[in-house]
Amino acid sequence: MARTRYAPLVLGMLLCHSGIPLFAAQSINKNQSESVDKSISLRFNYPIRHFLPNAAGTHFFVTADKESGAQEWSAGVLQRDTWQWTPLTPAHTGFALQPELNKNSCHDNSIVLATLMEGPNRVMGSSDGRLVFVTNKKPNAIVMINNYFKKTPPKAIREREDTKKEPVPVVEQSHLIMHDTQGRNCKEIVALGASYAHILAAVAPEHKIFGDEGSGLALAMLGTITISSANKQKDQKEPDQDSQKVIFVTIDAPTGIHKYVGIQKIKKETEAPEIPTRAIPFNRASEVVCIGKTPLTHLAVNDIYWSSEMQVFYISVTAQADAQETGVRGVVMARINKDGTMQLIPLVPDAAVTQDGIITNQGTGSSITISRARTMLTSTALNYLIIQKSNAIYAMPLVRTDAATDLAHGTVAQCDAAPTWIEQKVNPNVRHFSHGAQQPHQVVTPESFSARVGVMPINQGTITNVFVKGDVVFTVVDAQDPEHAGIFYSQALFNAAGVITGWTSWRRAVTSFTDTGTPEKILDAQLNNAVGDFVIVCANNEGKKAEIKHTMWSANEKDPQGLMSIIADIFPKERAGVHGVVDIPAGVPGLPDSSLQIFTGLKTVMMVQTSIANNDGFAPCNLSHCERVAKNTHGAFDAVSASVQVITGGILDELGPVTAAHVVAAGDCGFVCVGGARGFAVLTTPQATGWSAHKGIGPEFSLVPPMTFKKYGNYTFVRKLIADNGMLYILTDTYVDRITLTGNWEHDIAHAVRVCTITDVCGTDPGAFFDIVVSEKLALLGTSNGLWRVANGSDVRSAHVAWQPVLLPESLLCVRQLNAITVSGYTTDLTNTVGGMVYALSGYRGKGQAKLHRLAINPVTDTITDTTVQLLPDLYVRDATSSFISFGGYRSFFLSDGATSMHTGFKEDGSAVAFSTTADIISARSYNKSAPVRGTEFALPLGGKILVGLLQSHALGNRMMAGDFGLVMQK
Amino acid sequence: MIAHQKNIFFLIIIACIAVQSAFSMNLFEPYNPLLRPYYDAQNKGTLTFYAEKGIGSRSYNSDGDLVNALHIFQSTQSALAMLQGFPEDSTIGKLRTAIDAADDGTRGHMCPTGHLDLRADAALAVRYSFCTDWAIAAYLAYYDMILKDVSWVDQTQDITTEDIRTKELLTDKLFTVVNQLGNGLELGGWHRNGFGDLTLMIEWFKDFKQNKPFLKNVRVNWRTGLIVPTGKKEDEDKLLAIPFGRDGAWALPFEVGLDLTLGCNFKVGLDVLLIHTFGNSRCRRIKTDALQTDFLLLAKTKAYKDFGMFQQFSLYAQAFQLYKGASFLLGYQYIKYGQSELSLYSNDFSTAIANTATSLQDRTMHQLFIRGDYDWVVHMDDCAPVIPQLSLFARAPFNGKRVTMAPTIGLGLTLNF
Repeated sequence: MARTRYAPLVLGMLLCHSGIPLFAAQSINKNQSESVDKSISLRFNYPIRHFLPNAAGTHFFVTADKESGAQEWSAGVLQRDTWQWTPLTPAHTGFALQPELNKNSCHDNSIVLATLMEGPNRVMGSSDGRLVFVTNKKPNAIVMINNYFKKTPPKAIREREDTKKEPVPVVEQSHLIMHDTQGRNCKEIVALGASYAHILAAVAPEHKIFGDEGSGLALAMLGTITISSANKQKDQKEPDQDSQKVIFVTIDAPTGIHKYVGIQKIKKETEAPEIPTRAIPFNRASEVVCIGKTPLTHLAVNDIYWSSEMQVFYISVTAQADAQETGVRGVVMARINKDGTMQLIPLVPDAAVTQDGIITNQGTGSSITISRARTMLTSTALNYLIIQKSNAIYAMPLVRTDAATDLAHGTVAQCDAAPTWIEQKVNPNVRHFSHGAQQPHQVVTPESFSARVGVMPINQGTITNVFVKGDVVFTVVDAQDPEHAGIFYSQALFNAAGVITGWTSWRRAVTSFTDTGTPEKILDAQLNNAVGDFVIVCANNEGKKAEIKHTMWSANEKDPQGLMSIIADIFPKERAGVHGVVDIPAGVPGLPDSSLQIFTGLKTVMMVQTSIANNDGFAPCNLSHCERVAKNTHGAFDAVSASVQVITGGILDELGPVTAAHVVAAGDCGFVCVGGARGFAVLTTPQATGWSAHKGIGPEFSLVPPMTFKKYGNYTFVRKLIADNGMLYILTDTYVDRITLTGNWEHDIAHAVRVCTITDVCGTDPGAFFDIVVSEKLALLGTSNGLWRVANGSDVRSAHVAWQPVLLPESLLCVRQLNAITVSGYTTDLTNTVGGMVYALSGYRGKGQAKLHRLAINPVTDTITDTTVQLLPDLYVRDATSSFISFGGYRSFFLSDGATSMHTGFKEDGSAVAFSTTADIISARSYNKSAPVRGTEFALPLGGKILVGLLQSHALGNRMMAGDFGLVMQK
Repeated sequence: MIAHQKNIFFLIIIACIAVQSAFSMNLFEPYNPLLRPYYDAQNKGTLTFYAEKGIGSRSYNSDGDLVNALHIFQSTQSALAMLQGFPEDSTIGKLRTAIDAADDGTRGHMCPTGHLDLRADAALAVRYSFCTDWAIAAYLAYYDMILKDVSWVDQTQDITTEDIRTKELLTDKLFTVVNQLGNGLELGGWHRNGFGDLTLMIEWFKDFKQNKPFLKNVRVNWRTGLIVPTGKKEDEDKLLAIPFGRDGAWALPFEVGLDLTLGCNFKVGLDVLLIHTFGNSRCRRIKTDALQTDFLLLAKTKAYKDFGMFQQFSLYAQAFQLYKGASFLLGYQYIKYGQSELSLYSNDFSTAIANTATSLQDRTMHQLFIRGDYDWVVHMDDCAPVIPQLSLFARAPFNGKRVTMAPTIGLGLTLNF
């Protein structure tokens, strides 16, 4: 269990073992590194060129962005669990028994290309990954770090070097010179990619540049061969068995032959004779990129990516044509056949190439630049190709069939085809896209909602990295202004067939602030979605990658003006801490210029401004240091400028525990409404007006006039407030009221319409409402008697609303939380544009059970029908619907961004928050449909027992949890 | 002929006499070795009448702390946990869902207090000797107990919405809710009286005279028999309404003792009594969730109960006929009830959870005995048909675990024939 605490520690300099501070990280304070938190930051003396985390997130390989002088720190590896930093380019390889012979040619080199080999290969040994790189001094060779460790040198060496008996870094490495298409040593390697067994290098021929004839894709392999037992010593006592020897060889890509082919066994110290190996041709005339008879004028490889899901390489290129009839493709697939040969396959056939397509272009002077290609295996078990094209990200469905026999495997699928089932005898049945696009209209276009990841291109900066986790695409954006840089994400939205129909708008994933309070400029990142932590690479003053940090769940702050410290003061544990929290994104009616978080507690309301509009958008506010905190008493807002406004007393004393809050626009004014066990109140001026709904609240609430909370109606046990289309919906334990907002609160409350009562859904039995989602005509109600929706043909805005239950197979009766995922991020947009999704959490405290269902919400253009709300299909059972997650216990809250799921429930020894990845969920279902998803658990801090909210800040991206312990946030 | 008729008379009496064996309380046991009158082979028959009066009660919780009688299992009773473990679509399940509140340590917790008193008890013991070393005996007791001044104090705070909702839907009307949903469970006081179990025993004892300077006599004795479940059973619908016996179960006692006479007027002895109680099946209140507390159990279902072993160890020292027929005894007794186990007949609930009940766990008692006797044998002729014997005794419990014990004073009148 991690006690979450954040401390970006700058802890002094770590000296390399030569005694000179070179490309080393900040030192690691021993005590801190041994603490539970493992909070740490590493600041490098030289900029970082490559940041390569392994898939498990346990090791980070880093190379120096420096031509010379980095010495043994040209490359290094950081182990996350111990934060031990190991140089990978020491002066000698192995122990320098013969210093001249063991001299490391990579020492003090500049590493120009780097990638990681990792995956399910028994040769790999561990899951750390093996660093493969190319240096500036030998640009035609690849170097693989076979092993690295620390060991005490033999006595002879210690005496010679006059060193103490201390472990020193030891590195074992292998070199391979790559060949061009003629089998000659290539001039240089221009791009590098690796699977778990193969290394793919784009090579330029001798005396030419890449793209010229002779350019190609060269292949190397890491494998094993049997060592003959006959070669063993006669006196050895081990059983007379064959053993395996690791081999690292280049492959003749057109034929699949390498020097060990045909050799069944080899003697221990014997090397097979060298044979010429060739790269497969890949140049400006290659048909996989060039459509037409005229070669391209320019071809460059931007990225080589191994898709572990598809088991193929995707090569992203820049291609430029000048002939009229020439078309270009921006992505090429490379597959390694069973016979070892490599084959290049176009992702779309010539007939399907279109002008200004996502990965193709056509016409005079047509060109295309694809920076990166990644793949996504969605939680609905379908495959997509994620393309970075300039500053836009696109998604394209991929065909998944038998990779060994079907050449269509891995190519772009028909965009309008429904998934089909693959019948399997042993493994569960799976769905897939089975037919590749053959015609232009079958290829998804850049204009399609389903293709536009993040809806819009990212215009505020340059995309420096793209990575995929679960159903989410993350981008790292570098911008001149740090406020616009950072990590952003977009989540896939699915229809009832589990096919992507749209994407959420780009939303900030996490924000880190510098000591001076400005947002950290993030240049690279990796998400460990098992625990929801980001490892981020931050910029130095020159704007280059220079510091590695990672986000932590933090409960404590040194700064008393940090939000968590303020909340601990305002909402003490003896008053049960925070009772409710709501995150209100900028742009909702009444709040055009800011985003807010409203924390509520016993007789207390606290409003926190989390972002403020500037010239180019919204700038996140630094919650680690809230400059001013205004404490208003008598239930009034006194118009003192401060980013944090605390209101106590007055009518709030009568309200008692306040649990719900919202910002609404009524007439031309904006208001804050709150509700709780003993009433509903609105923050208004004596003239019953609010702030200007057109201007917003201004920086530090400067545009908000003096206002006082006033109680309206006789509401009790208010659970949720939600506003849509000029109407406020008040959800209480036993009824739902709809209030048409005119600005005259007395009148509006007096004319409230009772939309639903608990007896409508539960009859005379005890029951309660738990959650509501409203979007224009549609409303979903989570009740103690299941999920209900507005009935077909009815409208929640009408005078008489009809309701009907939504059948949730395998569900529990009580649906207690509804999480709406929409394109805009506003839950009230659920039925607009492409619709959205709803996570419905059902749970029964009485037996410690909880289930999660996913519902696809289709846009409502006319009336609500049977297809408006549909369940997503079961992953493995044909024509069936089922729950998405079966939790191993009671859960009261669920939050997911599509990559990491957080869920929590009460436990005997206090609540615990668990994190699950999408992969966790799928793997649990793969083996046993009812297997519970537990995830990685974290205990609540400060002895907390009750959690009242899990949320992700729209403004900052940081996740938060609030409860009787106060507030904990990811920083 | 007259002797034969006398024998039959005693056998009939023995057959009609019962004895109790309490579970949660140190109820009076007429065959208790520290209360038994002195007997020897010269007494053909013995008839003893006991009466005892309780003086308050002392209760001990699981930690051995002195607590109120209603705190022996838990210091507070959880009304929220009471609703756990029932089907979601049941009335109880729906109420649990509607309350929608977690137990934060105080929410839904009720603190019950009350006075459990053993108002009085009486017992009759009959014993008949035959073949010099053998005897048969029977024991019967009658009890009068009361639980009074019961109050339940709601610990729920008034801070959160969950607190208020819990109060409104549950704790403010707890007695009604519990009675309606718990099939008649009552949380108030009660007054109960009735007979205990009938105990029949066959005894063997033998004196081995010792011709030594200090040790004069060694008496070895053992007894065994049958406990017939005639006692009042536990009332599942009332708080701490303990059975006046072995809760309707048959039992087999076995006892062995050793008494040493040191000099002319001093005796010491030890005694070990083991009782195996046969399990029985009946409708019992059970836990449906591990977090539930023992007084707020709504579920009642048929369950087989495997009773734990009863173990009683007694030590005493006695100044015997110190002055004429007057004797004085000081004794110590340790009692342990082993852990019991339930097996449910229904699959609706979990046997494992049901067995987490604190009331099923083992219990211990420690008590001191002080007894003064006067035997008129020194004043009477050996041929006297009846020789009376009078005992005054007091029991002083001083420690235990998960039990309520009553300090008592009592008297016993014995007629030796």
